[in-house]
Amino acid sequence: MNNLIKNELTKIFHKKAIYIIAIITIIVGCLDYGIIKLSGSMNKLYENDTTMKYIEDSLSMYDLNNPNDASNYVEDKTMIDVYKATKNYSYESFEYYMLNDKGYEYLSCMNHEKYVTKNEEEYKKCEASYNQLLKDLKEKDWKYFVNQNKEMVEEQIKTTEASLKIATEETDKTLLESELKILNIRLQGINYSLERNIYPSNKTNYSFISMYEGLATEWESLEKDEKTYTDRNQLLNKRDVEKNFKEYNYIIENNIDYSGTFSAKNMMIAEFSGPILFVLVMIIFIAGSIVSDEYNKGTIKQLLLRPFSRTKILASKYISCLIVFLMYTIFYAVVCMIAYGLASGFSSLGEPVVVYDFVSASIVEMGLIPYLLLQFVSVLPVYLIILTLAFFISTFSGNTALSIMVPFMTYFISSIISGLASSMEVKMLKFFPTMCWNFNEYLFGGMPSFKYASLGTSIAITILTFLILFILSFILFKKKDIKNQ
Amino acid sequence: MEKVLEVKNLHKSFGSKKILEDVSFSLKEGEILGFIGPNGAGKTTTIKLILGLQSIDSGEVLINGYDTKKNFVQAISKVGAIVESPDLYMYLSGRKNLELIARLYKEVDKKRVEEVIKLVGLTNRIDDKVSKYSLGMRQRLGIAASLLNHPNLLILDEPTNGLDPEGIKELRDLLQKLVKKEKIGVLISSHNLAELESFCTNVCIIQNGVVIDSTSIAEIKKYDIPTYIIELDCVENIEKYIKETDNVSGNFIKVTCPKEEIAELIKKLVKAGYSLYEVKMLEMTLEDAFLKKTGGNVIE
Repeated sequence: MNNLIKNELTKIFHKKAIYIIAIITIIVGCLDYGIIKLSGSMNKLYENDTTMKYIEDSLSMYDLNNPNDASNYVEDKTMIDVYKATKNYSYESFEYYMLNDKGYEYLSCMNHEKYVTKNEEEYKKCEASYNQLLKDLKEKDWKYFVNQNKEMVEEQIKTTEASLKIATEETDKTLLESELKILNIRLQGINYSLERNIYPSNKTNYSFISMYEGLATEWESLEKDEKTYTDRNQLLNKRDVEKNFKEYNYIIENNIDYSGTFSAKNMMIAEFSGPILFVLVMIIFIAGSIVSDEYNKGTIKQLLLRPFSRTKILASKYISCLIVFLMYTIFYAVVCMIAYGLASGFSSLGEPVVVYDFVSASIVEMGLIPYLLLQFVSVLPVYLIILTLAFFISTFSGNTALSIMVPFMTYFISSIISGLASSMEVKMLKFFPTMCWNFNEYLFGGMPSFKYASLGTSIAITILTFLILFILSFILFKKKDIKNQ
Repeated sequence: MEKVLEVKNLHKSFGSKKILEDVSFSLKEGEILGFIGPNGAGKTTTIKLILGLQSIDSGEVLINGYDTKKNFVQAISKVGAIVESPDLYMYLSGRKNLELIARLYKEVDKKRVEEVIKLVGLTNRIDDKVSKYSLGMRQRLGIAASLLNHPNLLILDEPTNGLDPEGIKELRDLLQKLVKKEKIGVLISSHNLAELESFCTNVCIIQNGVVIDSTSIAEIKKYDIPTYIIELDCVENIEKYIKETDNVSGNFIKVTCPKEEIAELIKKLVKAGYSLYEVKMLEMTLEDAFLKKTGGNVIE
């Protein structure tokens, strides 16, 4: 039996097509690398001299006496001013970020006072702030600005605490308490960014800090919301906020490195959260041709003449498909890791993954590889059913084209069906195999997005589908008459 | 001598179409059985039933005493076969093809692989991809593959297809050597009776799925009464000396009779004053003999 498997693998690895698929994988991996690199400077690409010149030229067309036109004029003018101010700074620099953030605010104010309200005094104020900003940017580093912000928040906390002490009404108290909570969270975020050197810029994950604040505010109101949701989407949204807030909170409280959306770690997680098309292509190609190719070339006759039962011969082919599937998945993962690592740094790959577990209502911290494995296992039924389907059609029809096409169609139709299921809410679709085969949503106590789906039914249907295809393949192969050519 | 193959009352039909009806024959060690019939007679189907490639409707096949239905693995372990064409992996080298098969038998080692390569004379080209081989070379590689496991039953389905006369002669010599040395039984199918004449010890003739004759070459050759052509200076009054069944055309006469009688005839003719320029014996083919025996049953 071992030697049968060895033979099958020898045959597979002597086929050119699998190397072509592997090479395409590497090329796409490199493309991914390029896209990540490019996406960082996408905005920069749009903001170039030509477009700015065009906008500047069209400014004269606005009628400043018309209030609508005036506000548009201010908007465009500010954009051009900011562009000119940031021209000498790189897109990823801290100065660029500050000029787009605070600088935009001041410039917008200046333009507004100058062209719309025509208030000389206010204009001067804004101009002074703006000049102060430019001066500070030249002389001070980013920590100065963040510390400034920190002092402000600390001041706010003090005053809120003071008012809480003298507050008598219960409603006022609760209001002040939640205000204090959010201020503390904001302070936490600032401290985190100072400690981790996450300076305000498009390169670091500074947006994460502000998202954390946003989530905190949202969760503060939702958590108190005791009502049971009748609308499923509202409930799903609540759970989403809960999950994200708890995860962010854990990262910041425990001072774990948060890697951004385009970090190697998070790209890997995104890539492995569902079935991977390239892996599907490979397994459909292998499983769809492993039996039918031998029928078509007549070599099946020589294979069946060896002193092994047909069951063993087919089993060795099935096991070989599984081996190639696992090997290729590992190869694919390594290619991705290298591409993402080269694009956004390898360090994030060593950081732990933080997940909120709904079952125990607590955070789970785990290594990237175990987490990816867990995700892989949750979508494994998709791969196995597609593989077994291709294998089954290959065995019973002997037609390679058919055994490659049908699994592909099944896979693509499956997404149409799940789209239909959630929009039309067809209850019976919970028994449809492709509605059951992906268990990713159930991880860590997650809720399925399809209203009628349940874990028990899905497991039963998945196992049943797999067994039917698997056992039928063997029964049909045992009875197969090798037709004359 | 041991029976290596026994085919008993095989029946097979595809749907309502009967392919084989009550096919029986057997093969002993040291025999080469020619399995002969026109295209579509059921030769390949019979061979596939023997090898377990198709299911048997009724009847049984015993190889070295093992029933192929009940003990397939034991039955097949000492069989080598080529069915229809040498089925090889085109994208692999000749050697890799042999190594894949060798891996599936415990007793077959690297040495044996080299041995069969030498035996079929493919040493120079064995590391080339099979896709670069000529049909004759593929045929030889196929035979090498079927000999790897020291079979005592060798089944060759139309092995002479694609071989030139030289190749056919080589194959014949190889088979005869094997039969003598390794005591194997060979079942060899062909639609061409004449081609197998020099190979076989026995023949089994099949037509429309029915065995119409199964006998030894010697038995058929009994019907092999030679024909002579005699060239004379003239044929006047020749009727006195020859039988009515013999032909006269021009100055030639065609006489069919045993060896002893022809000597007598020659003496008589010389005495009668005829001048004999030439007496030539015509070789009779297996096919002629067979036609004679079965009374003109057409094979092709």
